[in-house]
Amino acid sequence: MSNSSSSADERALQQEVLAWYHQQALEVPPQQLDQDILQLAQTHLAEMHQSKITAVEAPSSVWRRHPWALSSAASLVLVVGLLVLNRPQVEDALAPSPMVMSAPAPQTMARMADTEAMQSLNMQTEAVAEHKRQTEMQQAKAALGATEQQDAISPAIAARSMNAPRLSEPAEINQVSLTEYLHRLQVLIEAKETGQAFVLEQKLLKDYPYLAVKDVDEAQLIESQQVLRLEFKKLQQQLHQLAK
Amino acid sequence: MALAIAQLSNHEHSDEQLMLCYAKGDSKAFEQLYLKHKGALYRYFVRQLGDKQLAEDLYQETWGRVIRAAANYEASAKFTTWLYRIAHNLLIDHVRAVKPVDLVATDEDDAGLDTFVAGEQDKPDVQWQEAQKSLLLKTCIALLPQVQKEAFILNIEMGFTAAIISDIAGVTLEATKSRIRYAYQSLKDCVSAKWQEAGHE
Repeated sequence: MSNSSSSADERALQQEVLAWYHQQALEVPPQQLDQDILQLAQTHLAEMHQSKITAVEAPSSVWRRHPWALSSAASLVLVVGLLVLNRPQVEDALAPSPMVMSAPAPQTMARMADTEAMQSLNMQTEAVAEHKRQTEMQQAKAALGATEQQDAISPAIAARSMNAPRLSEPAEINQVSLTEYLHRLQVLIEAKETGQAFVLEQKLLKDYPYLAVKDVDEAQLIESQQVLRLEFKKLQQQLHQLAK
Repeated sequence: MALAIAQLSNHEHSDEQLMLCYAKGDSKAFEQLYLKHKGALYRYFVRQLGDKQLAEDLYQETWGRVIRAAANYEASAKFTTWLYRIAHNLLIDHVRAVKPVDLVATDEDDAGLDTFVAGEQDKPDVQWQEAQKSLLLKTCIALLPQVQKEAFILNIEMGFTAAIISDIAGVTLEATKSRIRYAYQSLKDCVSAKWQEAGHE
């Protein structure tokens, strides 16, 4: 009740003040001020329109509108060009290289060690085989040389010389061969084939120089060579006595 | 007057539409908008400041800001709310820059009270009394505290509700209602006191 009465009083108060207020002379801005503001509005509008026209008439270039896309494309062309120009180097760089591989695991290391051992063994085997091939070739050559010599040696000796060692054998093989030659020389002496014995003697002196040298240091020769040298000297004396 | 503006809005474009038309290049739209709101906004400044020159400067600056913001204007809020918020901010900036005592209106039209006292014996009718009280009201408005004065002018000039005024002034709704109520009561008391001071009942 009091709320409604106070609200009614408030409305009556507002109506009374409102009546007084609207009886006042209502101030309005001077005409000059109105014209200034309206002129300002038109000027601003013209400026906005002009800026839009300028923006339309002078559009930014393609380079300015798409700077990132064009610069990226240019960079791509440059990189591709460099790759094309340096293609061999690039392919070498891209090829797998053992130097840049990562360290293998222990099991892999063990496998690699086994592989290396196998490869080493294979290489040794190949070396031995190669040496054997070379030896066979030399034996064949020596055999061919021996065959040529057999033309000058009697058939009896020729049969024995089939098993004679080659002159170009390695040291131990040469020693064996020298033993065989000394044996052949002894056979020729016993058969009194002095001509052939002298030929063999000259050949031995030529092929085994240490047999001919008189003042050779005995210490420089191995024991087997000393024995063979003494044997050769003995046969040489027998041959020369037989020739007398 | 507020009723007249509302009727005008029903027949014409809304304020927001006029503003958008102006932003698109229609200068006539702005002229229409300006003519609709120029009186109330002008009095908003004149009756709060009392200094006509200062009031005209702030009034012109308010419209200048409206013009410059037209390109970016969005009709998300009522145009009048936006317009008077600009005016309120300009006025607050000015209030902060001057002494409070300077804000008391010293309208040269205060001479009206003397005119009223001198001639009251000649016209004793009711209409004449109301006219004289309206002159007293003008003096009393100038004596109101600044916040009450602003709330009262926005309410009585534009017909704004307490909610809209609170939005413009940036205060709570209750505070705005209180300001409006105190303003009306103070004006009634002020006018009555001055009327009695003049020797009337």
